Amino acid sequence: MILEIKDLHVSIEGKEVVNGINLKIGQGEVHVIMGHNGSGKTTLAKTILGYPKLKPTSGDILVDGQSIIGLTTDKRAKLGLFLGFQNPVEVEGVGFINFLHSAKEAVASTVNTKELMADIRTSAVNLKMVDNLIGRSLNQGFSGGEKKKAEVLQMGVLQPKIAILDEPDSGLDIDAVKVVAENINEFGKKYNMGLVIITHYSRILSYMNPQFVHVMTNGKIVAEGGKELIEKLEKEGYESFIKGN
Amino acid sequence: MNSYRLFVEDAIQKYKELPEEQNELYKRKYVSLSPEQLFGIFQVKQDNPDTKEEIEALSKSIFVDSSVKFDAIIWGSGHIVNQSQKNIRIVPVSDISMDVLDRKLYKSADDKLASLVHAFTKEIVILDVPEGQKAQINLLFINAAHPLATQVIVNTGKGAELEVFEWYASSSKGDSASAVMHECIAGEYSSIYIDAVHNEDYRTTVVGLSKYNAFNNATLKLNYLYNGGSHSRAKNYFSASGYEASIHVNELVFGSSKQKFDVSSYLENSSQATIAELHSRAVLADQSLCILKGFAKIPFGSKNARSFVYESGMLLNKDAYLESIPAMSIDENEVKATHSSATGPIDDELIFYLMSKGLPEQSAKRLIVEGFLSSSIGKFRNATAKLAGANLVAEKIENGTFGAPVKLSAENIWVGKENEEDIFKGHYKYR
Repeated sequence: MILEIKDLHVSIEGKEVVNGINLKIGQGEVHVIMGHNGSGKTTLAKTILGYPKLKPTSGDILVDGQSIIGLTTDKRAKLGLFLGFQNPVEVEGVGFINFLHSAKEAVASTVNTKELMADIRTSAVNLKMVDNLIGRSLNQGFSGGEKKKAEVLQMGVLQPKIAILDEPDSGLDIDAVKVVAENINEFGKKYNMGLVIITHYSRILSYMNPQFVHVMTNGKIVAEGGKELIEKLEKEGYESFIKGN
Repeated sequence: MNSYRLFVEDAIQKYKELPEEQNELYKRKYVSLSPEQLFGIFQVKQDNPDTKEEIEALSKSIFVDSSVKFDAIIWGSGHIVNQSQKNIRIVPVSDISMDVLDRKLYKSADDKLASLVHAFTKEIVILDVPEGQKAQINLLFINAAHPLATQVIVNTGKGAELEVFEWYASSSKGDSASAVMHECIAGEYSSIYIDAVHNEDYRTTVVGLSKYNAFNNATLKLNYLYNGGSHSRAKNYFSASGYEASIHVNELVFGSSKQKFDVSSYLENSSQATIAELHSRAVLADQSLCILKGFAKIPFGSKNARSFVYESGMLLNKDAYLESIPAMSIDENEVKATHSSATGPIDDELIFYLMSKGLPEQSAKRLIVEGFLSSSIGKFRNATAKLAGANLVAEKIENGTFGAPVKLSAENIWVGKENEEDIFKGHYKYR
């Protein structure tokens, strides 16, 4: 699968928040989008998945050359797109496993419950999740870190072709950042996923091997490169990129 | 007989003075219970009463492909009691003196409906669990050929434990009513758990009136599911009257089509170190309507009392209506008390979240609604009540129907840790 974003513009209440983004992501690739708060990273991620309140004003989002702008969010997910949320919502009374079963059924059409359970258990252990977490309601009462781990676990179970992970490192302690990064890497390799990691910080990236780094400010990609860009950002901060634009 | 007739006439007169009948909100939303209609239902000449055999057959068809052994079946013109169940007595009103009946009448102005129900009561169900003993009782209430009016009196002795499962069903031929009053006293250190599921048919007006009292260190846990009936009015009074008594009430209203519900709960921490807690929630589809009132009172002197009133609602249709009214009256300083109320349609953020993982919009909405409902149903203590409640709401979500036989099957229900107690802890049916 190839996800292509072409000159995408998105406005909220008349204000342009994504201002001509171009990106091309293929399976097996690891991309990083970095940017200061409010630079449009989350808006971009949600727009790709078809968040109803974010309508592109121009440009296109293509999957294997076909526009997906007219598709509902679930259909985009069924194509193989996945969004790991920055702030996963709590869904009262909906069991985490029940939800995963329903979601797996939706994207894979058939589910082997025993295999699914085994996958979930293994992933939960690998992610060092609290033992009873998966027996609880979806994200309810999870700590910030547990919510992020749960998003990564979902990614592993649903096996998308391209996964966008919005700040998978926020709310995690130092050890957990490493655990999450290792699991993302493993799932990415195992299922040949294209990964888009949205983050503010370089720590998680020290455990990963991104080939493409994109820096966003004011709804635009203002710099692109390899890992060296991360080091530059660490030294100079976002300010130099903002000034440069 | 003459005095009984006077008693009925007095009750009817009192009913006509019921404040709700004058309430503007009730008038506007047509939730007033028309006295004429209710009197008409009870006073109509009732020929061809149901036979014991018919009721027994009916009780076996309450659940599809399954049956529950009820310890007592009470219907409009009779009853069946399991003779081996020693904790139940059913006595005709005629065996009770007018003085006793009069004392049992609810005296306050708000309770005039109770006196009406009482007037038409033919039999009284008495559940007694002596000191230190335990009992589990399944009760089935049916309004079939005749409307049902009865009263349940519950008493537990010191340290006793009683678990009651109540199922309300109908097989009415025309406009009917199911009116059941409860008067319940939990003795010191005793526990009473009641799970009540209402699944009356669309021709039935449901009237539920209850007074519960918990003595020293007693515990009352009450779970209600209001799913059936065309028009339901429930008024429940809970008093934690003994030191360290605790009362936990969990109410769930699930309305569809043009069902109307008026559910009021009044809690009072009448003694020190007591707990009174109310969780009320309503899910309303189509043009259903609900007035949900939760009123908590902590009088002066009830130090270290804790009182909580939580109300929440989910509207599945723009024509559905919920009036959620939490209120507290606190006259004592050294207490902990909170209340909250939140009502709205299904949160768009939740829908987007679930859809982003692949669930179609309708499946996402359904999962959210089921989750909201199962948070209440999961609190039911009785396993049959849980399963039946889950199947009832699933049936209503699926087809909008109620009042019909329901599956009593755990098939496709995720059982969590393979422990029956955990059956609904965060889990629900696969969809």
